Amino acid sequence: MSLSRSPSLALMGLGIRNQWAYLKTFILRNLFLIVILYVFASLWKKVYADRFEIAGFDLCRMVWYLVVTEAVIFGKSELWPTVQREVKDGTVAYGLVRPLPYPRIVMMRFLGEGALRLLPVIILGSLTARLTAGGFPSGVAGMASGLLLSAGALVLMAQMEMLVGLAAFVMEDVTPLYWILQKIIFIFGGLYFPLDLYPARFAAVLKVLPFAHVAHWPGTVTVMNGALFLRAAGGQVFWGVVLGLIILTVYRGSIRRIEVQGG
Amino acid sequence: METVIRTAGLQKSFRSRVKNPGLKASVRTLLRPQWKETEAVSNLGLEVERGDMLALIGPNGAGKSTTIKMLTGILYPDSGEIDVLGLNPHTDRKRLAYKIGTVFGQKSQLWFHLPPADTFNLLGTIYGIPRREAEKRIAYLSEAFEITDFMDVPTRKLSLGQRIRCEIAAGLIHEPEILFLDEPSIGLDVVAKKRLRELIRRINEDSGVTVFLTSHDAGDIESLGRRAVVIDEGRTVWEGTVKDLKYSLLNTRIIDVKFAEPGPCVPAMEGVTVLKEREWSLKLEVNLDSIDTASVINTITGSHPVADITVAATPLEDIIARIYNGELKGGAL
Repeated sequence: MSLSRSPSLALMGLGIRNQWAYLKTFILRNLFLIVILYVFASLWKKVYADRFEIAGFDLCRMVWYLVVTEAVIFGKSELWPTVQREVKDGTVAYGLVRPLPYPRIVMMRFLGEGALRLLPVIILGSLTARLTAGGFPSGVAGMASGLLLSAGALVLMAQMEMLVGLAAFVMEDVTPLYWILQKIIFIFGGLYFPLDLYPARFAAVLKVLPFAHVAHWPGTVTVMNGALFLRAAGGQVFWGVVLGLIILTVYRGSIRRIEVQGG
Repeated sequence: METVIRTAGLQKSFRSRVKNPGLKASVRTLLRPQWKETEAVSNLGLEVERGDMLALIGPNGAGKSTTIKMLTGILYPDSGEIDVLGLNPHTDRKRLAYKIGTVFGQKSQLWFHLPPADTFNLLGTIYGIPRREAEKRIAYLSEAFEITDFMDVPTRKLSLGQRIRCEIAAGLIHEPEILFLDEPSIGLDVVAKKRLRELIRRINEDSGVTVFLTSHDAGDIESLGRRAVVIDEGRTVWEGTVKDLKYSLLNTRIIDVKFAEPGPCVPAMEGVTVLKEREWSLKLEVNLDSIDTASVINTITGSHPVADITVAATPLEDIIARIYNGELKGGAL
């Protein structure tokens, strides 16, 4: 099959086109990102007032790290509410008449939307970081590896949100699950600061978990000009496979529970 | 003729949690949940031949949609056998997906913000149709379903009638052998319904696709179904040709009379029931097993001047309602 006839790419493409309808709203909503970055940049300036470096990060790197991690979290569209709604209203069942499995269809759409949304977030974030902390601290290698790892982070987020959404087969409301996932990524995934700021042994454990591959690794590798890229990408691939297998198992078990009454 | 759908002893129940009112009941339910079992389909047997148009009729909650969902692999039956095109819809779901098309009147398969052309192209890709072939197929369906003019209009801006035509065209992109239509005309006005029925009939005649249709609209059955299966509470209550359903099952005719002068009392006749009687008009139901239509007309015209008279079969809707009510039995069960 040629690349242009790949169902996954076609779904991503349609996700991008579908997202155009919401793009203006999305950009307006994300003006808040400027506030967040400004507040954090000001805080870090105070922290860095009497030192040049913390855990290998200078002020400029620390703020740009935040741009990368926030780009993924702000840029992604929310997949779990869609999955929860479609499990509850039975839409997931209608996907069974297609030759592609439902999780793949939804995730590709999500990734397409995310790819489009990532761009304005990166632009807004970069402008804010440039004005508050200085220019991009890495070169082309940092930029390229950052983009690749951000894409990988979007995939992992899609997978984790898919699992949260699929929990709707057994739970009335999965919002608490997403709330927990979000907070884990904030605190133990390294959304606000690199995991290197934690005690070494604790940080070493956190760094191998999937949450770190959503925030810490893309942020760190980008501002360190691509250093440890293979380690980070390898981790993302590993967790991508593991989460993919879990989704497959959960999905296959869940579709037997489908109950769609009436017409 | 080749049988393309066969079911035997099909059974499906739904289990739902009982939620009694009040806080006390809620706590009790939390500790000791109570379940209620609803039998949606019971011992259902069906056979459909290639190229046929079968209508599955029933009132709301009869089990029509549950049946179509089991046939398409969406729902697992509790027991019984299903064979669709030689495949088991649950174990061979992916293979079957390439051979069947589905349209669920209440669930759209079109992308809301995008024009139908985009969804059609995507479906072509999902079903692995080479680009050239997909383009040809889309062009053919656009013309056949008269949707060319709004192929580039976002789905959200289409009328319901336009959208349903696009939905059916989308279900046919991959040239399925069977088209399952679940309440396709729901919510449509009379003009849109008529047009839709013509298009479905044409596609069945032109491409030979087998059509399996569920509806509670007698008009759909009358225009589309060659064979009909009436189900109620998950059970088959009548099965046969639509022609039999209309003309043989209920051996009656309706006679409408308009008098030239204010009407008299009609003499009582065996097998004739007066449905409506006014000064200038009369509506009768004639049971052909007891008396023929000509005798009734002769009696009426002989007793009083008549301005107009019409004879019609009993409306299908009434026949179906009587089957549901258990007033009529028979058919090839």
